Amino acid sequence: MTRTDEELVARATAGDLESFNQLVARWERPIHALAYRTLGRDEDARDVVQEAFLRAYRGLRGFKGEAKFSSWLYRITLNLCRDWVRRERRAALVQPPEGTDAVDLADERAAPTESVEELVARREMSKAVSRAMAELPEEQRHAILLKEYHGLTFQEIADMLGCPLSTVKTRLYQGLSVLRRRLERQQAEEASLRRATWESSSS
Amino acid sequence: MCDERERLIGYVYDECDPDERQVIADHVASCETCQQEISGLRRVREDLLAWDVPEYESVWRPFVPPRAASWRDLPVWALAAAAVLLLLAGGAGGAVTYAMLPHRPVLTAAAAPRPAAVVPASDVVHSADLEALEARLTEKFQNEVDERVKLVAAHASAPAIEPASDVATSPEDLRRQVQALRVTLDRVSKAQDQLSKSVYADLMSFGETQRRIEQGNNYILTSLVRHAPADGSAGR
Repeated sequence: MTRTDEELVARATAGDLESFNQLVARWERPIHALAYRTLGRDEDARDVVQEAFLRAYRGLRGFKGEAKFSSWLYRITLNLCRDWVRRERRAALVQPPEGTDAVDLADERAAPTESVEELVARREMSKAVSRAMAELPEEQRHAILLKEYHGLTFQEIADMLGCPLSTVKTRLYQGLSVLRRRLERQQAEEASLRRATWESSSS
Repeated sequence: MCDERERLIGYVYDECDPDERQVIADHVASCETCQQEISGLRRVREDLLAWDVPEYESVWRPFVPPRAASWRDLPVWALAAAAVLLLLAGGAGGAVTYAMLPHRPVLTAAAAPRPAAVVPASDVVHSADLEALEARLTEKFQNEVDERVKLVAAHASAPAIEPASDVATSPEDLRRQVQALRVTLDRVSKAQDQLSKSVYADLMSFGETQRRIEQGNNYILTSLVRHAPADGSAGR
């Protein structure tokens, strides 16, 4: 029988450690994804995952169930990421994925039907998105992360970030518009670079 | 609409009420600028899907509920070290005792090799025997607890009064019902008390069993020391 988050939280609050372990197993991947996309470095994201769950466990009695457990965890994670960036006194890193070896690439294909060219294009896009996101103001970046990758509603994001619903929509719109312009510009630059390379090699 | 582009966000994420959605759809159908805006937002959302995260393996070390410490919790090396210490302590003790005893003259010619001490087979305790004993006692203990819980639960749930008259029609009825409720509560309280005592007694008995098993284990170690060959070839 699969228990809901709320049931597991109630049991964990009463001292059932196994229930808390189940909550961790259920939510550690999304929390890692959020931390990684916020900080840009896997190692730091893993540290944040551990710290977030320890902090959640310590604060379990203070969690009144007004928001979803996942929203509460996301807020803890974003706060930890913010502290981490301040502590390190630098902006979140943009770390391109390692390895351009053809064999590595073949292993990373999303589907067996994906060609190596498609995979390379996807990885290029992944890097471009990561770079463009890192340049956004924090509040726009958080709104986009929570909406796009974690499927929160506008209201949930507003409650979590402590701002009006209309502000969430504005941040999303502005953030997406900036991303769109940057990505289009990058794509145009890459296309012109490819064209120049092709022309120089054919002449 | 063209001046309030944020409204398009609700439309793009399909998170607006039906009326609002209809208004936006009607506008977009006739506004090329908003059509481009919406297709641009959808395109950037598709691009965002490309952002991968690295493979994740759990870093969480699950919480383990605390339990009573036992010699079984000790690692094998610690048990082995304890056995070696016992052997050494036994050997040292024996050497000291031997040194302090008055020595008899050594009989060489008549001294036939003494037979090695033979331990009756029935006196040797094997760890398998102890494990079987532990399993038997644990099962017995569990069965007894189950029986007692059932007994007490049945006792506590026995109704004290017939639920014939739900509503008291007179002060007499009311008094009688209150009295009956008191009796029931008293019974439940006694049953709970009995259950607590019984569980406590069983736990004590379980502790005693564990203590005996540990004694058995010590006995094995002592036997090893006592019957170890004098040439020091034990354990080879």
